[in-house]
Amino acid sequence: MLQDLQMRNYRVFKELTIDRLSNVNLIVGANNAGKTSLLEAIYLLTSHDKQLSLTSILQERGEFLTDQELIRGRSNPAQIAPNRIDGYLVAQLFYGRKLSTDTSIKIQSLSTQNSLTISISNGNKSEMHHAKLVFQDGSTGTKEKPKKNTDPMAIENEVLLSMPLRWKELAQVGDTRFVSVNTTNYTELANSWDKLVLTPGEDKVIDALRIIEPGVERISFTGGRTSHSGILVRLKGEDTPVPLDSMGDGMRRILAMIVGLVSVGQSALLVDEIDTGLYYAVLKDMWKVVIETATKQNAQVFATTHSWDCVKAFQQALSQSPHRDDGLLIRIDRNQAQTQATTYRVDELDIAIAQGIEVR
Amino acid sequence: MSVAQLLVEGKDDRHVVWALCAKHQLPERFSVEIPGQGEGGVDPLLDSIPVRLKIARLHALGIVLDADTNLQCHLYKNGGQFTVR
Repeated sequence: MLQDLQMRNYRVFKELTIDRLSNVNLIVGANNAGKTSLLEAIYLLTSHDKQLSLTSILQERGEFLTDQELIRGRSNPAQIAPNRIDGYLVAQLFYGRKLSTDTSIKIQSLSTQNSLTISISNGNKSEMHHAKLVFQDGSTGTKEKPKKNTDPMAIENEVLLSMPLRWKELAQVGDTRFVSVNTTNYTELANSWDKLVLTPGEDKVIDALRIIEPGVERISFTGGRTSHSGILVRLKGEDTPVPLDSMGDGMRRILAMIVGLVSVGQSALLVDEIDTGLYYAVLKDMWKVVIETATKQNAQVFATTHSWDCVKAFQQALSQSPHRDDGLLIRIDRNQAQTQATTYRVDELDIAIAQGIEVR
Repeated sequence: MSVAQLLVEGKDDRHVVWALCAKHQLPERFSVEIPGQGEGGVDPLLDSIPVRLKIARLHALGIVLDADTNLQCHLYKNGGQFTVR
């Protein structure tokens, strides 16, 4: 489990240190403070396949070129088929959005002794037309850990060249997962579900869905492979199964989140804007399930929110949980190049919520 | 926008502060807060200090404590918590 995090030159962060992390971490902060970037950094540090996580991060943000056309800013980049991507705007990952052999991204955790360095190499040439993105996956301590080789990736004219995406490999049991607003594609979800069927994990998922719809008895993934169909729900007292998507966005979000959480094992689940699509009254129960599941399997959760209701529900669920010390609120404050993380334990959150003291 | 708060124990104290500010024509650059949801009192005020010190963009935090029953009382900090003795 990551108990601390340091990073340098990743996106908006020139430098950021978080001295303390917990099992369940809720991240708040103003727009563009770097909440999603923090999740991405954790994703890069903890995932097994660095190339794949890096390209999926860039794709999620729409930072790629397709058919030689910049499509950044389209409403839903995740709907674009991966095989149309020609290259990634990799400079976006670096502080200052510039590629340079002098600037490298460093992400590390002293508690787990994991470190990741991403740098640019252009051989001996001065120009950047042809360069390589180099990963150093290492250890912060003196004890060398077995390293997994990550091949350098080719960069041409500041664009990271596309490589065949191996989406199926993303869903390894025990690997870190990223649940964002756009993603949760059907294939990935179906693959993860297949691994949970007929295990205790299946029951955990059904219990979680009952937070929103108490009548849920079973769910099933059908052979349909479009992005939004193929998940059927059997409801108590009804003969015909109901498509999950007809039951609202919240059901799909909860499903993706809990399937992800149960599947990560002892690794990390990252959830961007965790309250999206959820009615405020279900947030407390949602947190209860997340806290209970995460602490039981010793998984780590990092989620972001803007909402006071979500922070309040987090505090209420933690306060009533036997695991009340296993949650932490983290606020990211950024002022120009200065970034700071402020953390609140549950006893501090209790006072903040009771007295209406702003923590966001 | 930076935040500045003056913490007081109850409504009467808040009115005293407001009256003093009006009398001396002080600009309204801070809010006068009663910690503890209307009931006020010294304990919720002291409990809230470590939490208020973490408020984003906090510029100033002031406290007004009532010493009328014990003129010798002092404010102590024990770990992150404050107490009056």
